[in-house]
Amino acid sequence: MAELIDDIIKDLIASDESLATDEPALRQVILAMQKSKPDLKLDENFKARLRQDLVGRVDTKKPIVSPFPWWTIYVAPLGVTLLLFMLIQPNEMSLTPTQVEESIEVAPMMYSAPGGEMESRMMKDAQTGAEEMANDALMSSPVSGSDVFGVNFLEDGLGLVVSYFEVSQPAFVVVKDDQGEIVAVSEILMPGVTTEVSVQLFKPLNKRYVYHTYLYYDNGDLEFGANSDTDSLRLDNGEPLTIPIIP
Amino acid sequence: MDNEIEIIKKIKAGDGASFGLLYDFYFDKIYRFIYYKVFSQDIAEDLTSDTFLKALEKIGSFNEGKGSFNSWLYQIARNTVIDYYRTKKDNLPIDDAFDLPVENRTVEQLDALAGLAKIEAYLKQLPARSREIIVLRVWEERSFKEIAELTGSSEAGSKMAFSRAIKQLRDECGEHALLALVMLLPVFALPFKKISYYIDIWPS
Repeated sequence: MAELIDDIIKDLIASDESLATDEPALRQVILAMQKSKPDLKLDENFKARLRQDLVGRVDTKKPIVSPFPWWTIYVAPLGVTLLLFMLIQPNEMSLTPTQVEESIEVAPMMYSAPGGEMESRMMKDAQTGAEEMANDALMSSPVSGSDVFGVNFLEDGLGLVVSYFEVSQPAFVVVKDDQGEIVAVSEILMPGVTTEVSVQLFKPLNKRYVYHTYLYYDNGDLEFGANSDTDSLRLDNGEPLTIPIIP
Repeated sequence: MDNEIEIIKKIKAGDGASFGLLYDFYFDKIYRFIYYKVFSQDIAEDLTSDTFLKALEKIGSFNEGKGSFNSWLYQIARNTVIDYYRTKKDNLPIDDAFDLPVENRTVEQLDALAGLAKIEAYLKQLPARSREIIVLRVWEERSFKEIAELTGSSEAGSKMAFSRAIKQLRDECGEHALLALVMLLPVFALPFKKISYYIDIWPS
């Protein structure tokens, strides 16, 4: 203790020489301070418990080290976004009007009724359509038995093309809008395989609508007679066979 | 502490054992530092615990380029004590137990501070910063270099502050000692008066 007090006095006088004359008084003050130092109470159990708790906290919050470089944090979401965009782009055509307007250039989708050989031909046709008419929107409709057809809207939106048609009896491909109004009827399509038949629309396509294709069987007069109810709508389980088509 | 930077890097990487090393090295120092500000074992334990918890939470943001871990940790401890008093005592400017009104002290604090006798009254007159320097130098026997690091000042500045505080204490003690002497004079004088009285009436 005396050593410490000597050191302190020495420091004090070194910093302020005038204090040298007051050394006894300073010594008394420091000695009084030293003697009045409170007893420190420390619970060793508390110290050990706190240590255990803190060390445990560090171990539990140990960070997971990523095997990827840090910059993948920024690049990965971009990549995923692009991938998702590429994957869902065709399906998003029906989501909003704006998207519909921009979705003319889509990969064609084909549907077919169960038809064995016909089904495979249908798929082949779909692939051909995809390659040949990348700028067209392809619509197609399921028909019963071996009946198959595929329809593409023309790029100018004024007509459509029956790209492939194969039915067992004379029939018409009919297109209706959301309101059920007929907007296009193909010429009569004879049994067998028919390709690339143009169809004029009665009114321009509205890209905000979803259109539906139907197959009507001719009643024998070789003219479409929906208004006179003479031609029969192709039904399956009492419901017309149709699918929505988006321009 | 040797390899302190390496140890901190390991803690940042989630190594609990390294934090244990740091804790073992600093616990007693921080506990003492806080205890001498609060003079209560319970409060010192709570605040020491808070200090290490905060240090653990914020160690990721500790930048060795801006200062030593030592001073960083002491600063957390100092702020923890200040926060404790200011939240408990309606935002009064209380830095340590010396600033507490006597009626607000716990029995333990009263006991501890009673041990300081008259010195407590003189220490109370000093700014908290000066008290801290005196405690670090006289009770904890820290060098001025260490004090400078812990208080964020220069070594010369710490010496100067210590010197000023001790002179103030000396002056306070001196004045009180003189006052006490003046007040005690009649008590000392009485026996002499009585002696002279008895001398006067002593039968010649």
